[in-house]
Amino acid sequence: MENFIKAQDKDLIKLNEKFGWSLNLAELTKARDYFIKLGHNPTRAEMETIAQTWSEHCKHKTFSGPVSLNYNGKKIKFSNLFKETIVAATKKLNKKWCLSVFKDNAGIIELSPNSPWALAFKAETHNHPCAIAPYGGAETGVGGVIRDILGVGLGAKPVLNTDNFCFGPLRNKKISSGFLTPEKIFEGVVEGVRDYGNRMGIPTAAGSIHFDESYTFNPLVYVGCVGIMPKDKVFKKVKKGDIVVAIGGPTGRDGIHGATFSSADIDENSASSAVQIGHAVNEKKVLDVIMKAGSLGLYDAITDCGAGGFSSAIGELGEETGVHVDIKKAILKDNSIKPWEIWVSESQERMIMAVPPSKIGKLREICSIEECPICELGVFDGSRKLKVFYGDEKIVDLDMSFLHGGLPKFEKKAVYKSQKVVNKLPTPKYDYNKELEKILSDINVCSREYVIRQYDHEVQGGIVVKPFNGVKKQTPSDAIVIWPYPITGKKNNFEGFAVSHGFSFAGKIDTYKMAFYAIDEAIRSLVCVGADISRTALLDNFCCANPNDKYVLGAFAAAAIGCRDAALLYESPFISGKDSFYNQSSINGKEYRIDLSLLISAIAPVKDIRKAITCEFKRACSPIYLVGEFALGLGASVYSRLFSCKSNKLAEPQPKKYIRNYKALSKAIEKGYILAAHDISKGGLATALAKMSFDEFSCEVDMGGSACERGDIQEILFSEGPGMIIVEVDAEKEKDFLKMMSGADIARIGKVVDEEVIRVKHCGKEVINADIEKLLGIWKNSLGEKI
Amino acid sequence: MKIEVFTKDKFAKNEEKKLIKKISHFYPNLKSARESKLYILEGHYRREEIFQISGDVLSDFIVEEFSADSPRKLSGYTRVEMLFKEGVTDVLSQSVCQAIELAGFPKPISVKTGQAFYLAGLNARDACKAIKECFANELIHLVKAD
Repeated sequence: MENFIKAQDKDLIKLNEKFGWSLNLAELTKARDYFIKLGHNPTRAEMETIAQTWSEHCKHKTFSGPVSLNYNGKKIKFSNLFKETIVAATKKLNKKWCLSVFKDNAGIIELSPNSPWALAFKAETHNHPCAIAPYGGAETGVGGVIRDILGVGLGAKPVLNTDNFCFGPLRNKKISSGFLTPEKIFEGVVEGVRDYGNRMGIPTAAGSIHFDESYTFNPLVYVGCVGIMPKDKVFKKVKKGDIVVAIGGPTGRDGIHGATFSSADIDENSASSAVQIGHAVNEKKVLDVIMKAGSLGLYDAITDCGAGGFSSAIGELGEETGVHVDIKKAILKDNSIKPWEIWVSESQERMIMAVPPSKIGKLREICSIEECPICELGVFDGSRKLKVFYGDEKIVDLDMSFLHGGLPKFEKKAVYKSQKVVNKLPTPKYDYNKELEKILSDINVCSREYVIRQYDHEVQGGIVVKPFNGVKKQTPSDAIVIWPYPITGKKNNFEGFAVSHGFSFAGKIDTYKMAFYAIDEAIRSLVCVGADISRTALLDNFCCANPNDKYVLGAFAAAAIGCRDAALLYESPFISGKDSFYNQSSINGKEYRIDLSLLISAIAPVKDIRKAITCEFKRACSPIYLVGEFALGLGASVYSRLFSCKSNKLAEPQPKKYIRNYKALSKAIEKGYILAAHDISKGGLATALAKMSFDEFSCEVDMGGSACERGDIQEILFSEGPGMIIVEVDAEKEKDFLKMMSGADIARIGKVVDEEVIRVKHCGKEVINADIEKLLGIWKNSLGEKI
Repeated sequence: MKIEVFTKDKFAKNEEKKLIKKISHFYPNLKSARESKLYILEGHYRREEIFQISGDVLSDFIVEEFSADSPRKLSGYTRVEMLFKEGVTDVLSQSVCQAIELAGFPKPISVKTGQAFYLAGLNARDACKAIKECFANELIHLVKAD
């Protein structure tokens, strides 16, 4: 790159735009100064390596950078926002069962203290690719997160895929030219996740879908994967002399600039080369090679080729030792590809291994059996430098210390101001049947069966609590429970694990509380299936607009603080996470931004999967209890949106109380006192009772006098606040249940009935009397009708 | 050689219902709609081999039929093709190549996959627009009416 070291600032900016590096001026000048010191201009490959290594996608420079936050007038300084919030909570909690956190491709926890197995969990976003090519974007998102699990430690076996999406409302309306409609994005993403997961033979089970105007041009696609691995394979270490081996698909021009692309806003001219198409069958071959080679100990380290391709993967593995690579040895799709393109290409389904020379023969043999391409690219040489050749031509020669430690840090300003609370509700009345029907048909509440049935959640044979349960298989579950015996081979060991998610629109009002709501929902969902929540591990996936806007960053920082505080109070550490910025679009000069969005994924062991429970009512005459006090507030609720309430009231989270209730309830579930449990979330109490009634039995509930004093009927029926669980107690064990729950917040609210109607009374008057079949029909068919 | 594989009429009701539901939001004049899978096969094959490949490898003879020597015959419909643009990875075509070879035929020189839509009640311009708006992603797809 001629004249780079002599370039003026304005010329650097021009070069940055021309080559699509997404670097800012401070970073460009840092790079220029480095090459001035070396006394030569950089090569294209060197600048591409720096651009991708320093991208937001790879270095998370906003979250890991200094932030000066004005929080409701109070000044708070962070030198590293991520370390002082998310990581700080994990460090303080110091849970011994967290085996590897924040340093590998995924977080790893013990399955149980005595088990030889560990669980790896990772969730990623693939938002920008899905906005422009939903099918390919979703496929490669799933492929990428599966490779994270294959490349964590010495490789874990993927046993569950998760999918959480945010789309614009489905209205079948034309939108701005150059953008896809939410319908197209929705269908493409679902098909992509389906095809990749199903073809890989990994169940896709836990997930959620959320719709909001703010996602119309910027959909969010969170894809996750859980893997299981022996505890003694949790750590990797590259050794000097190890061979750099690439296995998997050939390298082409696909996805050049994927890392830098996700560090920029989307506009009508976003580069088409950032689109990648996945090939699940190739990845399955890679998986099979890793499982065999890993069990034979044929490599010292492994990682996946994600954003940045070879550049990122080989650069990371060789960070401590240094590495010498000849990319002419790479297997190519197309011989016209330039050397720098080979180096940064994001072709899918590729993994990098550090293989001792004595073991390369056996690895080649396995690859041949599995029909998986393999090539040797170089050696981890102990030079502490990144040296890349194309034959005899040197195309990269960078100090690892500069590449990984040279990124300049600069403080960003953030401002957060809480909203004033208003709570104007419609006049109370005594018939809420129509409201319940409308809520059940709402796109954020109605059944996801249309999507879920496209996924194979039975493959591998380990799923215990499924997405739909009950005799009629139509009651949705709060969390998924997996029994990993097909992997462990131990049929007499009934240890398993549960996975759930939390996502809240409360961030439209208060992002600090949103973090509590999301974490609470995820943990509460685990409680509802019988997981051991004392060993809950969390993942955080933040998405927001351009963080250079101080208000965007303020909302983000408040949520990060909320995550820290909630994690400490719930005693649940974060083990991994990801942030995705620049989720905004510029159309005809107008900016369309997403609201700050936070997906919390949670995983916890289930001591005995035979004791796991589901949410449908099981037996007539069983007493129904509400665990937890009413958390009243219709802010950001479905009711509020549908019935034009002027309310932004959010219940104040009380984690200490909640966790006391959850622990007591977990014990009651373990003892077998509870027949069904369901959290109160979207649509509130009335919706939760309706869903629990969708199988064989319904309910008759009287909210009683105490509830009348607490709040308006609308708040009682439709609040979506934290901490509330409805449980069906085994009538014969009610006394034991009450004894076990002493000190917890519980109230008996009704009983299970063998009828076709759901009845709810409030202050002595019947406010809901609805036919279950009708409600079920509305709930089941609404999503399909909108597509 | 362009091969079209399509659902037999007696099994095609759901397919048609889905297409009409999607397209008629924007184009209420649409009267009827059908679709086919397209395989553009390049290789040295005899005519009977093409028919064998179409019948044995590319279609399910219970619910599907094929047309290998000329486009599917549907009168009164506007035909629109949707194919990947040059340079876009076509994963399905790679599987098709492998499947043809595994079935004992010579390996194709190349295979391209795509879809053909048949829309009744719309002229070529509107039919093309309808497919672009409802199914295609113009970043990766090329859409053209016959």
